[in-house]
Amino acid sequence: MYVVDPLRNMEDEDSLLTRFLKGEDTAFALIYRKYANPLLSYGQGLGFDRETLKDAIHDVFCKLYANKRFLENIKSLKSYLFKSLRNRLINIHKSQTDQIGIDGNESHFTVKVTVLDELIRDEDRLQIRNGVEKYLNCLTSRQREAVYLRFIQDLDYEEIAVLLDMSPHAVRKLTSRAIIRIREHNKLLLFLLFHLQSLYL
Amino acid sequence: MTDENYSKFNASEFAADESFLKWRMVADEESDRFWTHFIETHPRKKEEILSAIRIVNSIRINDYQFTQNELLTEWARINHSIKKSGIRRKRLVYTLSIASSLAVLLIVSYFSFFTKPAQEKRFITGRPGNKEIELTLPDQSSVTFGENADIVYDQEGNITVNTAKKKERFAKKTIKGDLPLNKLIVPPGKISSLTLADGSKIWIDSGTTLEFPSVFEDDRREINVNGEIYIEVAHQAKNPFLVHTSAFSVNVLGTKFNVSAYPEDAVQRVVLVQGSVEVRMPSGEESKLEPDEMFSWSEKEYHLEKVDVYDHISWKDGIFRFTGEPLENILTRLSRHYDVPITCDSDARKIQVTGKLALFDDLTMVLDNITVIIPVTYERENNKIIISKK
Repeated sequence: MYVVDPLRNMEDEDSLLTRFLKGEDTAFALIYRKYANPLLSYGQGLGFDRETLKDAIHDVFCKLYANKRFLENIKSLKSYLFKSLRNRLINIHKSQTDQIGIDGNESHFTVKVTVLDELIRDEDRLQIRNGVEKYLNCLTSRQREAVYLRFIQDLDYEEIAVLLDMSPHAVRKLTSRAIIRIREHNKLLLFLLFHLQSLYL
Repeated sequence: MTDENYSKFNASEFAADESFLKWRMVADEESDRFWTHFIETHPRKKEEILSAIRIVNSIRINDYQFTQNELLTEWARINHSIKKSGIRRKRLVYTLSIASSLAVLLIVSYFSFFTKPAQEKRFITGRPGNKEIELTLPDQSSVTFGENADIVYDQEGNITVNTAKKKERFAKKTIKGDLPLNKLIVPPGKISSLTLADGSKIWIDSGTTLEFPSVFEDDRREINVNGEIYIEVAHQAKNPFLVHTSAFSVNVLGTKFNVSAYPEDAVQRVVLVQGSVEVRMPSGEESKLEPDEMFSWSEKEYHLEKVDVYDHISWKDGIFRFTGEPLENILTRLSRHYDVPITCDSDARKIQVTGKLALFDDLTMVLDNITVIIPVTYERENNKIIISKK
């Protein structure tokens, strides 16, 4: 069977990968188109600047193209690209800081919150942003990264496990603890405030 | 926070409220119970709550994006590096180069004519009716497909249809002879491919109707086309292949060529990629084409010219490639391909475009690409696109 329309079904990651591995250059372009922005987003979260990230993403795609022959067994293209970027960034970080012993585990994952809704006032927007940031920042860097990968980038636990060098079980635990932590955050504080209020009333 | 305080809240205040945010971010039984109860007991707050949910849903985390220009520049850089390192293998003549497939990339020349025809021209190609691909079989039963389809007829007249979602097989009894033809309608917004019983392959562009027999007769192969196809005819020396359009017939002996014969287009064309074809006009005149030649027919006149054939067959690979093509022609094709009416002001209509357009699923992406490279803007009005010169 021959392909009817190579640019349809952009969403289908498996077929993109298969077509790319078969040597279809259109698929390579679509992979770039689809993942350039998610990679930028992840890299910024890891604390790198835009120019460094452009270089790193460039390297990731060159490597993907060069290693085409060895990629038949990869399970998920997205987590492969994320892992590839992460490794590249760790190397760049090492060469920049000239230190030994810094690995990905010590990275500091940051989040920037944006409220896209345009119908609200700027001060409300700021307040909502602060609220969300406060919750995400009560997590450890590792928890924050896992939550971001799971819920924003939609990777599954197995994919995150490969990416962060952990077992899927540990990733599951990490994320569920993060969620509990957000749920519990400020509960005690609110409780105290509430009681203080009632004392003075 | 008590119910009483909340009853004075507006949407933004809900959205910024800690407990509300938590409920939307990491709902648990307790918060679910609280907020469902609150909505039930405060029906007048429902609108505000719904707006608040909408606001929270618009929250993005690390929403960094490359600009269109950055994407293009970085993509060019990646390709340059790959080329330099010599990883790229030689490719077949008609496959795409990497750079081409991303978007519209190259504009070699751009200039605008200062001709100003009177009023706005409208490019409508959408025909009323079905949005689905429809195949009518000789027994007059028909099947429809919601998605682009690859249809294969084998020598026994069995039919296999592949779409992204499913694979279907029909076994049909076919008898050679004067049976009604199969009729395939590919509406605007869809494309399809078809393998005929003799092994010839046809790519069918949007807005095209094609008629063909399930199994060819022994001494002749004939199909009818209204619209645009690219066909690779299986070679059978003793069995000529005829393609009929409303204006002319093309006689073939094993070859690859493109026929563009939309009744609403002023010009109907045949472009020969490989082999040899003969075009027969109703007057009885005949014109023989060499590879890389284009035959065009308009208002009972024809002429032959040398062309870059890929410009004319690129649509089958999911891109449009143009060399010095007026913008209006490109918009006509886009309108047909995406099944959306596009209008264009007279200043923009004659802009000549050279380059490549990847036909992404989303027309907006294609239009964004156009606005990057030529000085036009576009807006959407209802279900219509309006293009104007910047």
